Amino acid sequence: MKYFEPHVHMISRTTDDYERMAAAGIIGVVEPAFWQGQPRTSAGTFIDYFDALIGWERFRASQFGIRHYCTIGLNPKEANNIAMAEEVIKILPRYLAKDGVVAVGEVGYDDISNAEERFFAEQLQLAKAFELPVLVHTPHRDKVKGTERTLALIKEIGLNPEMVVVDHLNEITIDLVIDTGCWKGHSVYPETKMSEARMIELLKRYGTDKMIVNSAADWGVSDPLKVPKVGQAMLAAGYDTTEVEKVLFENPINFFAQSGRIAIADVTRPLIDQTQLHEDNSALRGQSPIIEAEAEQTS
Amino acid sequence: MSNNLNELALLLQKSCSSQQWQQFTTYQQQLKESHYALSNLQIILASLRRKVGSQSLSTSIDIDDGTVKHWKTDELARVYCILTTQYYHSHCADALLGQLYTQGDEYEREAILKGLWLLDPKGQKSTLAIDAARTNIVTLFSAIGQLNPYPARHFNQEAFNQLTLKTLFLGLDINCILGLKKRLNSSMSRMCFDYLRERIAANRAIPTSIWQAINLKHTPVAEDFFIQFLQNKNPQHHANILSSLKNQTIPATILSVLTKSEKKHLQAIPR
Ligand SMILES: [Zn+2]
Repeated sequence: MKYFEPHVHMISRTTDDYERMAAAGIIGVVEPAFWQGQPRTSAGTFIDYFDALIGWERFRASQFGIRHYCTIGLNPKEANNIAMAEEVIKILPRYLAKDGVVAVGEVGYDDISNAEERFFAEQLQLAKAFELPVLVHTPHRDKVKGTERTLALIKEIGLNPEMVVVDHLNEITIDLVIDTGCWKGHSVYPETKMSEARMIELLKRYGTDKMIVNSAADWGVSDPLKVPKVGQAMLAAGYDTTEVEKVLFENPINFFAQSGRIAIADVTRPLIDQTQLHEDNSALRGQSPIIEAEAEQTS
Repeated sequence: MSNNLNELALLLQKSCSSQQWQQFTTYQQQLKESHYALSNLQIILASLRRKVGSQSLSTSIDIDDGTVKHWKTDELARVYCILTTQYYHSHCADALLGQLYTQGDEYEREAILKGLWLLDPKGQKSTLAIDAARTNIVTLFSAIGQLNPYPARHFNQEAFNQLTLKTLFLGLDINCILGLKKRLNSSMSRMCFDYLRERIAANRAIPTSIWQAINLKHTPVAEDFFIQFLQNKNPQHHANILSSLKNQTIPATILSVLTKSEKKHLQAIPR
């Protein structure tokens, strides 16, 4: 079985996680830009962070046979420092043009403040200009109101709902999204938010179209193996492998494929192929191969 | 320069589909005509991979004592766009490379490094290149360190030696460092010998090209290892040792373990 993890903050995870994720069948991840956990002291730290997402983290993932993509955006939590947020908005365009960037995100509301709304709207406009999909974070508190305002703003800006995934949904908020045309994201957490069993119930009730599942694993208590675990739970609940791969591999890739920068055919186990760079030499000679040989690959 | 540009453009055209080429020429027109703006150039550079693809070049060409080979179409397209910007907007050429490099993603950076001997023929950006060679991203490192004439031309000795040692350390082949033989020096020889000793002591695989950076004139203590690895008959070690000895005065102890044909090959038959 192959899996795609559409929302995980790998920068805060260890190489053990990469190893376990690869072993569990995850062959691609999307890492949304999010907040740092503590206040930033300058806009420069965003540059370093975004650079890590399009450079070092992508390389790190490839060492474990995982394709890494990212979304770039100003997180709602960090939108409330207005002076800094204004600076960040100015540097976003050059990142939104980069190859590994498959969406704008995560953007949205957290405290549902005016500043959050302003920068959320500005980033929706950027998404329109760069023809990129949007990954929208819905707040953990006052979730219903936050989700309603999100959907209203998308309409107001005139964004095609097909280009939006509304994330961190639960049994209550999914009803608000179900008829909008937006994609539906669900974060399966060890304790809060969603569990595997509840996720199965949602799939049974709402079907598998445009349904997306992620772990949203970060530096908090979270589990980067939740996508494969939902896969196991789906099989146990009677879904067949085609349906599992539809929800946990194809759906998320097809959503991000609207960027024109990722496609199902691209998401295969990467090989660090130095000979591709320099065909005259066997470049990684002498080093035990970091990635398994092509012949040993599954799927 | 404009001659070079023509040749590079032709190479790119031959390596692209007609649709890719058409997209590329549209960008070219924009770059020539527009008022120079870094942000425009950056967005064009960032999009190029999606426009011209990332396939191997259909052939290779020699320019300015170097060879454009082992590049991908996106890399050639990016280097070409920067070269034309330098050409048409020479007043801002100075700061351009540094900004594009720092603000590029790893693919853009690789392209700039691969083309640096064309983009910076005078070696004014050697600090940037030396810093780039400190990366642990193997593909990025290879872009400056492998099959690239820039380091031998513009790195100081200390940086060139570090590049050589790091190439071994990353498991890459130092035969692909252009100009290595010319730049071999006593401290490089000593550093690589120390690395060899460490690997042997730790019972770890020995990079087979390491012999190319050790000269017995500078590091006579390496003699025993030369003999030991000549005798163990691993063909890659063997070939690299012989090739390294070709430029050296060969001590009698080593001569005594060489076959007649090897001696002949090295033209080292004692009188
Ligand atoms: Zn998140």
